[in-house]
Amino acid sequence: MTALADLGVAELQRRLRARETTAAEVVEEHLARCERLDRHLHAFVAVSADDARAAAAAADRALASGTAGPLAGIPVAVKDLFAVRGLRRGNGSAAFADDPPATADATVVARLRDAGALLLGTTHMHELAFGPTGVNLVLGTPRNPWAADRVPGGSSSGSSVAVAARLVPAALGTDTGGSVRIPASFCGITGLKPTYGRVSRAGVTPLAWTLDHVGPFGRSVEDVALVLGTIAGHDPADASTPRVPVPVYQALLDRPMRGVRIGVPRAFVGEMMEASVGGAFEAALGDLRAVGATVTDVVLPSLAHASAALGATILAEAASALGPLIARRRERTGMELRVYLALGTMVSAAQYLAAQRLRTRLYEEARATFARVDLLALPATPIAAPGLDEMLVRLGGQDLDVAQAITRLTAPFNLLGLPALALPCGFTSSGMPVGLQLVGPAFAEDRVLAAGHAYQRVTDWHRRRPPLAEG
Amino acid sequence: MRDVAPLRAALAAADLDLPPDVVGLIEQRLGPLLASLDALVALDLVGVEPFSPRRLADDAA
Repeated sequence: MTALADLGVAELQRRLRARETTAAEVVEEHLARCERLDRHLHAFVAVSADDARAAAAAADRALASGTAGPLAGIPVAVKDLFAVRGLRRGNGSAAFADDPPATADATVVARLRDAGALLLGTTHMHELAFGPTGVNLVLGTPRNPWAADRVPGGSSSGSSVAVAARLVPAALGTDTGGSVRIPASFCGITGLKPTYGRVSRAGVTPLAWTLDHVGPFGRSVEDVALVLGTIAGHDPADASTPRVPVPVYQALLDRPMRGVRIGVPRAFVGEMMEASVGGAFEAALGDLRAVGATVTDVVLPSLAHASAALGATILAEAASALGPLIARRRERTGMELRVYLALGTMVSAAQYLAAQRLRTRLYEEARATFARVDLLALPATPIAAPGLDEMLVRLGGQDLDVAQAITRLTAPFNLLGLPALALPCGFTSSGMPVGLQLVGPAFAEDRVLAAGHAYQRVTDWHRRRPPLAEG
Repeated sequence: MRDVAPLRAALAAADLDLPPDVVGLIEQRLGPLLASLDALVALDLVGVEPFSPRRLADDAA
């Protein structure tokens, strides 16, 4: 019999509804794993065991009476950037250590609870979400379950580690330059950055307003689809969420891949990639061809300036968003954050506006491309998880800042606001996971998820279990 | 070679009293990013308006 903690959202949902197990059993097994493993993994800031047990009891009653929501009895965790009633929102920073507990939930947390999910707690992260490695020198860095000397990826590091290590089957993170897709790629799980505005950010600490997205983690595309369906949709508390209908994503997963046109921006992906990442990516394209897709090269010339545009936008917006938030607490923030905020004061109006105009040009290029292809495919990250103390990486004959390098392939889709899915597609020669990224047009999450699901039906990378998840 | 004086001034203005080797490391890591921001301004973007992510919903409709 497979342990309950090894099951994903969809299979747990099936067993709970068939009364083959109970929410009480599910929550106890996951809490026991948190107790046993998290002292080493450091994924959780806070585990709210009593609340989770109470929610499990309520879920069991709802399951018995036939009134259960779609996530009834499913344990979840959320990044410490989300307001969770009764818990202090720490934002990955010591600067908020004396704040009182939140009195209300973020909209997405409330939607998870309404769906019957069991909120196990909040997870560690890069300070204020400003960094893609997940390294947090003050509060501690979650361990990558594939190798403790590698970064977990960030900024949503703890959520990703918790899912990869089977502490929870699903979690939420945020993605401003890749902060869901990068840790998903580095930890060998599945993560989605939805379309900008598809998921409410009300009650979530901002980093950069025009780039911030909330997204789900799971071990499979099907699990991610189930969570997305419960959190997506218009929210009166977030003006960026339009009234675009939310489909039943899991009902659309089994669409055939025959004839699906996939474009690869090969000139952009180019040589700036670790060799074994390139090998896994090409093999994934072969698997997608084998299930019926056609793969062609596409060119989006403005991708060459995407990292600069992201840099100007995130630095300027973060300085504006976070400066006042931490003004009276600066002494308790880490040096990396303070350096980034200082750089934000150097971004001129001309640079910021050039970045926003470049985004329009890139968007027009993407629109024209999506008239000829259904999806884009590229690696999620050009390298597998780097070492904890690596600051520069060598790619394409250049020494690049590690943050610049690992956001290179994710950042363009924050600029564009388009849905982008990261899912496991192999391993490097040193045994670290590699991520594939699939990108679709605005609000076409169903198309992106269906392609990812088709890929996971013919591969088993997403079923691999990391060594630090044993026990 | 980029002029690093504005970066040093910004760090000083933020009360970041850092040893010279740390400042050197910051320059090494982030200097290329700052240089790329200057390159953005030099792009020919005549007739291109700033992006609004809210146009995504209009285009999807």
